[in-house]
Amino acid sequence: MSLLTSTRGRRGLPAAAAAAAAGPPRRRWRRYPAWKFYAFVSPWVIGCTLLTAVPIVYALGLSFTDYDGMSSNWSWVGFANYTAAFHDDTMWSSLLQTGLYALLVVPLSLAGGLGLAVLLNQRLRAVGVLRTIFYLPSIVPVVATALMFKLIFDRDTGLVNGVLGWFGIPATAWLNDPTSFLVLVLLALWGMGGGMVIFLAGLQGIPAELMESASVDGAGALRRFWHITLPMLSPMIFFQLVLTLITTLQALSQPLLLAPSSNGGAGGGVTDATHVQQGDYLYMVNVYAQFFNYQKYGYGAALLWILFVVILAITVLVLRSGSFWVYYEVDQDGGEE
Amino acid sequence: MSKNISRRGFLGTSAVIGAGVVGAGTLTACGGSGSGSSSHPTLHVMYDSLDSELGSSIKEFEAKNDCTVVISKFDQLKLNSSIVAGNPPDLVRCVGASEIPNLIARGLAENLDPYFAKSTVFKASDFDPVVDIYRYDGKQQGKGSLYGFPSDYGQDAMLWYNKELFDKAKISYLSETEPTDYDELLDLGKRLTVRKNGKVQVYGLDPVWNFVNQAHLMQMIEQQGGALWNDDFTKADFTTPEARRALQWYVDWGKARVGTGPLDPVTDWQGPIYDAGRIAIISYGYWFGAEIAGADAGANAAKLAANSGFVPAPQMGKTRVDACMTGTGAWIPKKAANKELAFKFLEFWRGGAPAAKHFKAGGGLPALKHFRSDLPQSTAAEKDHYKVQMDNTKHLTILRFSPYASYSAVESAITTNVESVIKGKSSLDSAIRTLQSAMTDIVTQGRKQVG
Repeated sequence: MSLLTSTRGRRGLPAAAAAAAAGPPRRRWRRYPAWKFYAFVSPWVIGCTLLTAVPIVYALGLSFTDYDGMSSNWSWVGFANYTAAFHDDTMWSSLLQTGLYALLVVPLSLAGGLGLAVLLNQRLRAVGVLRTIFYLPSIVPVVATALMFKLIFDRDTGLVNGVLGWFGIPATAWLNDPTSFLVLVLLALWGMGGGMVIFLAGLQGIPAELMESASVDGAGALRRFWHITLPMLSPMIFFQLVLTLITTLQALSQPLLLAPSSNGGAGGGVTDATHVQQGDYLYMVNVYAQFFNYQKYGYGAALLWILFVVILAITVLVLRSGSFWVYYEVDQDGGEE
Repeated sequence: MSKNISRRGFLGTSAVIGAGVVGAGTLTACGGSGSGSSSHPTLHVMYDSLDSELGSSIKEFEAKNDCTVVISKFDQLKLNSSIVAGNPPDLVRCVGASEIPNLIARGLAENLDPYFAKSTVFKASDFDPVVDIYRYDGKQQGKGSLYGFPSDYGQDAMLWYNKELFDKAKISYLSETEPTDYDELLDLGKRLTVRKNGKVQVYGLDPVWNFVNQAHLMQMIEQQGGALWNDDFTKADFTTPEARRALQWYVDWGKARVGTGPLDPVTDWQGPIYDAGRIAIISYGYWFGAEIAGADAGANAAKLAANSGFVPAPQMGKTRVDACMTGTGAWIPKKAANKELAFKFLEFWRGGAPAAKHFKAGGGLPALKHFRSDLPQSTAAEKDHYKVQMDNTKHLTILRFSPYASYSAVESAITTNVESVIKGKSSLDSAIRTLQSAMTDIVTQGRKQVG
């Protein structure tokens, strides 16, 4: 059973489990008082209410105001923030830049993670060590990774220009436009080891007899990969696609951390969205700037809601597309295929 | 006792639990000051690095005042939230010169006149004129009641320079008494810059772009006899010839690529780069001397300090203006729970032993004149820097910032628009138009906030 089918709810449960859920277990549950159930689910209900529902509703309300985050002099402005957003060139340019970023990062990280998983699914000497090495970058905090990238790609003292210099190649200002976007994409791909682990688990779940019978039937490695591995991994690919897409569209810390330093000694080292290069000026950077540079909390909240709708629409499209290319060993009606 | 769990019942009960928790949280936020008991209060101080600066002396203050001091890093978001919740810290950091008018005009800062009147530590006769940046009379900065106090200060556009790099470039040293002309300075920056294989080995001139840009522009405009803001601070005019010339200078500097500007960003702030002998001229106040002589500069610190010259701020016109652009210090929020105690802490921190220690290390100029004698003068270089600074304080100017414009918003608008010209993405005329429009928006928003 795949990861996705296991979380499908009643319609997606295997027939036996669905039948069990409809019969005797209901009577067994009746032996417990209702308060026990509520006591057990209350941490999640309280957490979800306080940390998700309340902020979402609060942000929605905020988006209809001109609140600045501190002043008591604020007023309702209706849809003015949304109207302003649709006429804001920076909003559109940052949204387009985010789209381009997602278009590059999502397929590259999926393909890279899958490629690494396939390579490390071979019977190699010290394969465990290799898997660990490729997985490690994904657990290094993004702050550390971004600062390391800044040092590596620094024009005057960085490793990359140092190595290029040995071959007589002049130094490049990697952290400036237009190459800063390339560094940002590389930074995102640095953590593809996390996806690799999930794909690796999927690869190891593919029944060996399928591969063997395909080999016996004369299928080559490529054909086996295309007709067996990929379909069998498609629920994982789907899962990774949705998650990577959402996190990529919400990227904020990476471009902020790659930006030139504020005057740390004198200015307090405040992370400032103003310093982010134009190529790295993603949607969330603009939102951050509206909140913390311009104190336009209402406008920033409206931008967040617009992004929420965009992500929701893209996610729904991707979920719908799943029925065309995601293969489940267990069909949606609960029976095995 | 047994009862079925229906979907409707579950949702209903969950909603009640959730609403109860939210309600309880809200009530706590409204009512709880979180400031300890009245007999042993907890003083909340929001000020970067204060804990490391004060060290064990905090314990002495706590023992003497029977309180607990909690110091946290300055965080604008936390500050905003706590002010909205009616539970702000008791003492808060701010970049005095440019931030305090806006805080006062919004009614957020406590008038400290009654506290200063009672103080035995702070005496008006001992105040350096820079204290005036924390004054506001309801219309303009520099006059009226006191709403805060500077930690220390400097004339922030003064110049530090590396004499060794000047010697290598065969350039004579800068005058310690007469200010250098901005255009001459840029020319020197070009001559001092050393490039190799696409890398910059030495930045000739770093006016520290992105650090209080508004203040630098105001100073450059006032040196030409102009003003950025109108009399009632409701309009900033970047279209005047004086403002245009100041902006053009920054564009020329950025395009010349002689400092750590938008085309040549660096991974760290400029201090360590100067310490590494890679910046020939840098614009910072007196406090930067402590950075040069400090631990960060490593083994070469003494040599670098001896080789560093310190001179007045450059001039763009005939009127001598050499302002304190920051005067970072502390203010007490109107709704703070422990205002008396916060003022006592201010007295202890900036009027007591910690202040003497701070100024002995050269960490900026004191706002209380009697501490001036504590400033470092043990080496020839320190004596020289001290003399230049004392001579230059005669030209100290108080810039007047608009109470309607938030510091960060103005900085962002200036940075974004000027950088687009430096990067060749727009013309100066176009940038000035956009900047002017952004400033109008900022002031409109600010006037609404002030109410």
